[in-house]
Amino acid sequence: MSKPQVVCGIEIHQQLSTKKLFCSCDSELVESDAKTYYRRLRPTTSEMGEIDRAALMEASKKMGFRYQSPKGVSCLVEMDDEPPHDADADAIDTVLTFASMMGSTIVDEIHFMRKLVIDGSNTSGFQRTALVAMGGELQVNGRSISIQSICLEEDAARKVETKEGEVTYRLDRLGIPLIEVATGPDIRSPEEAMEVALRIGTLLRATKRVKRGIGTIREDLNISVPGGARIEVKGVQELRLLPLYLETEIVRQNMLIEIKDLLLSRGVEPLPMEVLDVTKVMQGSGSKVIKSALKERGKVLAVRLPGFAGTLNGDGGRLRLGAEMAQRARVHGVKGIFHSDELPAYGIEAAEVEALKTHLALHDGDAFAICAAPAVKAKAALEAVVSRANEALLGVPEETRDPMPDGSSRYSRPLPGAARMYPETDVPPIRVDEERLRRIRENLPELPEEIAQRLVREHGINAQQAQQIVRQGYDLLLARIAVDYDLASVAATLLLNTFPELEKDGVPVQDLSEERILAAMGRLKEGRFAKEALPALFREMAKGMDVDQAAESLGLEALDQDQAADIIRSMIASRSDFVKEKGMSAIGPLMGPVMQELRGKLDGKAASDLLKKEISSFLKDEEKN
Amino acid sequence: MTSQCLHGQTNLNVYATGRDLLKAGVIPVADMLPETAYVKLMWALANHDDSEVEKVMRTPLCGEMGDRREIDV
Ligand SMILES: [Zn+2]
Repeated sequence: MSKPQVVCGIEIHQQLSTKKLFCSCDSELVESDAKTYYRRLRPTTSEMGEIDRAALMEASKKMGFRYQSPKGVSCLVEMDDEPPHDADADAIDTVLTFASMMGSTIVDEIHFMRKLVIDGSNTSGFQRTALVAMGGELQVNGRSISIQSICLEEDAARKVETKEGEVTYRLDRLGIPLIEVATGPDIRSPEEAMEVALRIGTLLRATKRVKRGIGTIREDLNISVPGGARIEVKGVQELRLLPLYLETEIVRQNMLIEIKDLLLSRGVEPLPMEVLDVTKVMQGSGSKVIKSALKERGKVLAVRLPGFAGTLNGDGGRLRLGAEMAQRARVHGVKGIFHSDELPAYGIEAAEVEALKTHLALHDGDAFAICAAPAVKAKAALEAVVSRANEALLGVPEETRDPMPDGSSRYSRPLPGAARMYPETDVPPIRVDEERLRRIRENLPELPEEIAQRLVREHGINAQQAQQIVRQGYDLLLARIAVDYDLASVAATLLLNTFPELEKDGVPVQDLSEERILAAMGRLKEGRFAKEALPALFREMAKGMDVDQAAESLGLEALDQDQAADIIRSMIASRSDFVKEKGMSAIGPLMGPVMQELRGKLDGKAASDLLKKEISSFLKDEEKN
Repeated sequence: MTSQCLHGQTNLNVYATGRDLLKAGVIPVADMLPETAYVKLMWALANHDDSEVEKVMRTPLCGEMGDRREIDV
């Protein structure tokens, strides 16, 4: 067997549509006014006696946190002013149901644990999580992907704003139950990652107790290439970008391995942690960044990077260790660094670069990085640069990375250490008894294949459409449109063809809630407009209009048969010679202009029927005369 | 088990004594006040089978108890 190009596992976090996990608040995100309060978090040694390295790094940022507590969706439990209540029974049932569907082995007792999180997103300083089942597998395109674990955990507060030294969180999301499904490291290609995520998403939705829409399902990717290291890209919200994150990470890890080989072949040794003051050399610099830093009584500091030339930004921008260093530096509150592979630029002159090289006693093949900022921050930032340089000699450092909208990722923090979990003593263990499991097994939901078959059987759409509808999670919506308005095939075309086309044009169709789509279908059923109007209508609705506003702004008005007949008659009259000459075969050529006139106001089929009728009666009248 | 605090509620999971009380069969009734709990218990015993009394006592029937308290600052 050939060596795999990549080894990847996925963790999927899906919000449940039950009450919150440890209180009876609603699991909804709201934008209403909220009372706020301010807090700080400090790391203490955990009950296990260790301080975690990730926790330490967060603490070093010295942040304060402001919490918004909206009514109805947050209470004293989210504030951590009151201990957690008993875990929500519906949420536990949902996870047990999913675990049974996957053939996983369910634990005898569910024990909640505390996972240290001190970025402020959990008021308690930890996230509660419980292992519910292990093992099981799913089939994706003929390959077996193992399930490692299925957990139940609480979601974190959502970040509203980040300011200097302060982060604002909203507590509506804190405590929403999440089912966490982790696959084994069995995924071998970017496309397969997407397929696995889609399949798990479809199975989760089959429980009918999960939330829908952007942000309700998030993926973490664990990625390593041969010779690389485990990288966690955390919190991917857009499924369609999943393959791209994998591709860019494969390229990044291979690039870092190439840099390591290059550095080792140059005989580069680990660097000392030595930060030098070059403020004097750069005193008169025209660089805006440097001028403003010096005006604020900051300093320009530098580190030597012997042997690193061409790895920071080299080979036409392909080797990018400099970008990695800059990301590490920014964690310490500086705007960025300048490194020698990108200079002269940014207002720094060639002569200044030469002066720096001389001052730092650098030779050809050596590199340097400088940072202009308050001395303490600049020093910390450049020490991070030296650490990153030394890690480059070892290859790919293990990291947690944030996904960026363009498909790249950015350094977030080191991978958390093993000391992060310890028992949650405020929530008693929950025994999973035989009685409960029997009830769950006897009420397992329809599998996706069964749902697709039902859509074909009951609503008359074709099998391929039905499969797509289920895969993309539209089955509940389609069934509602079919039952309420008898518009199943119109809905299938809308969801499977129109929406993707609109999305390609940059229309944010994902923002259209099911309720708004249903409202539009209701108006269509009432004859307010014709189905041909739907693409334009949803284009307007995606801007935030409701269906009636959108119809009005498009000038859509359904025509009754008489009005439509009038318009068609006058169109025939203005082309009377043509129609007389062509007879009934004038229908074809006239259909274009007629639809142009009536699009969105009259259904295509109805327009064609009407045109036929009117031409026929026109010709009859002509014969009489 | 009830609390005399107007805005407090019982949670017997947090300390060892509470867990011992649970083990001994004590029924925690969230934020119901003692007088209310006393009357509700008389009513529950008179109108329900013994095996159902615990469930009745722990289920809000007409606003006599609840387990949500929001921030008040
Ligand atoms: Zn709550």
